[in-house]
Amino acid sequence: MFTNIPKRPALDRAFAGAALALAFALGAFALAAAPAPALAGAPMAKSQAPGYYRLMLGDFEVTALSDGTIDLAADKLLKAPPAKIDQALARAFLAEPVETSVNGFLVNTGARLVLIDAGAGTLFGPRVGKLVENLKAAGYRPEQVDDVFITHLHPDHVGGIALNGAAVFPNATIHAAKPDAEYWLSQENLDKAPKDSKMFFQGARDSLKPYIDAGRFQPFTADADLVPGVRSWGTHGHTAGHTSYVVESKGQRLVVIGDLIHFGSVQFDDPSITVAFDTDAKAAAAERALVFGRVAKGGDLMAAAHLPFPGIGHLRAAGKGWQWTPVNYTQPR
Amino acid sequence: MQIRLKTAAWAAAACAVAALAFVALEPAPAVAAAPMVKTQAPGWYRLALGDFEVTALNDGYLDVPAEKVLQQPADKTLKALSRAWLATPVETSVNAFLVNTGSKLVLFDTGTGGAFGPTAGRLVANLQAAGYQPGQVDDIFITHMHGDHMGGLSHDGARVFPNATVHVDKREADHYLSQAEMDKAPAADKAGYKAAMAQFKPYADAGRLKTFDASAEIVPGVRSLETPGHTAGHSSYVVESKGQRMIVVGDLIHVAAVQLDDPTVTVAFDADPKAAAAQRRRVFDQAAKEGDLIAAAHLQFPGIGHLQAGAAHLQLPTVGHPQAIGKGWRYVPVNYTQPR
Repeated sequence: MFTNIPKRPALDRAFAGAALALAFALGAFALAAAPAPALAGAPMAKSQAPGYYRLMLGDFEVTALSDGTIDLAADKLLKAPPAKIDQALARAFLAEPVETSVNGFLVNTGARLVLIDAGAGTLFGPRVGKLVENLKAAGYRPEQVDDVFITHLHPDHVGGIALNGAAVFPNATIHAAKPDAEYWLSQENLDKAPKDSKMFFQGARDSLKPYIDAGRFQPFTADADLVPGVRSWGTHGHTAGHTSYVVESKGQRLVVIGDLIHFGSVQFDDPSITVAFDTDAKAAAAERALVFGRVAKGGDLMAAAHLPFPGIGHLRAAGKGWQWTPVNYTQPR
Repeated sequence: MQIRLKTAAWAAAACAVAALAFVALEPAPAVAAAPMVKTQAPGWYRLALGDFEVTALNDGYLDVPAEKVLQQPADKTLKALSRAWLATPVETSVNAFLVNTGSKLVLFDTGTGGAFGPTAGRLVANLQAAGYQPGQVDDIFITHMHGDHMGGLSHDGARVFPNATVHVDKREADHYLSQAEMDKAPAADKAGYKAAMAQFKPYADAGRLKTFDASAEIVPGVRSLETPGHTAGHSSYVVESKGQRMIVVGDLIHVAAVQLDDPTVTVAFDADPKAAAAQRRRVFDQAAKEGDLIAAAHLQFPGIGHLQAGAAHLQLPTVGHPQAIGKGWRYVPVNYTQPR
């Protein structure tokens, strides 16, 4: 009954005592009780299901992987009056801070196993950093990953590729846009960054180092088919080299959009609202409008790092904004 | 695998020798050629409701020919489906809900038990994956006696939940467990009565079947809410802890892509379509007004979310300008969260 609770040595004895007492109490209760005693007094399980969700895209197998969730103060981060933000959140039955998903996407093309974004690793605290655990739960091993495509080099997207200075995906090549690499790996930018932003630069450097050392980091400069079925699409603005990836098989398309949106409850209805994390807010909003327009028009699926897990769905134009329809829950066939 | 690795190593060496520029353009050889896994994650999802722990349990799916079962012209249904990026038949979730109140472990509906074919009948496997055992369930509340809701109660004449008491509306029991009613029913419907009798008998024999007459609190934090129409004794259940409410609505809705926008559209399975539509209107309006969660057997898993009144899909309100237009509701699935 208690085997799943990790034991801390200091608490061991007290814990065993409590368990014994509880066992006696339950026993006594069961003997004494009338018609339908709660047998169980079943302890609450309090865990979440493994954070992966699978669907087919043409011949490709797509697996959304949850890295966990982070609490974000939408009314502080979004560039709009707080009252307006709070009203939008209330309409979506949310409250501050907003528990926000961090998602990565694993694509098995049949020829290659490709990961798009890798979560935060150890850079963002204990509620995230679960991507590898979920990748394993989903039936894969990190050493099977052939390529990792990074949408941008923020720590919640790149932090998961390294652990204690070692490559988490030892056989993978890491791909990211050159402008992002130049910006986030620059010693000069690190030196002149304000103290509380330095971890963004340091995080990118630490995460990429084992791959750079092994000759497994390949920055790219222009939109290109990086592996068959996966094409990069420069959507710069959120960061200097922020990139989306278009995954396509048999005419079905999935556009992995990274951080083109953070708060679906607010930004779908009013996409002009930007977020404090944007390097170039105007460009970020313009890219959001451009990509969402194409996704809606093409009937493509869209996969986002921070929409509620699994973060995959369709878009339809609705007034000034967009209507988001999460994918139907299905079993792979 | 051995051969593949050798080939990969050879290819890598060849590339390295050939030209560095070439290596930069061509993807490195695939190491793994990882086979596709093609399975879905375990079908359970957990959230907190006040002090209660709610676990949505997926029983599987049924392919529903929506354009045939919905009582409106087929082309209207197909159009609505395509607007929701769906096609017929609609892969439709079968969900049940487990609630741990702290003192009782309570299950709402039990899935098909496999009676509807191999695409459903996974409820117990998912309950176990979620960290519980069937023997821990104290009470089972049945929304109605259709096979995809009570089919998981018993297996080969034995109780699947040996320590549970089963609760159902008296009108439902009087109808489906009655030999006289079965005799009166059309031939095609008799199997449904037989299945209900077989599923409930092991509990009745053990004195573990309890019927209720009206809306009432049955265990602390769980009360029944009579919603007859889909069947004679169809019941919803209101789960409440610390002012937070979730209404388990059973079959008040089947095809979200159609019936949220136009709740007057009924389904062939409704015994009394008019009453079924009226109950949908009443309960959904109440949930929207109060901000209650609804938990539905056939909304896409996990099937738990909120309803916004008066917003049809075509006319989504913009921020700051909520518009009371349309006659249906907009469904907002629960945010993805981790228990704390």
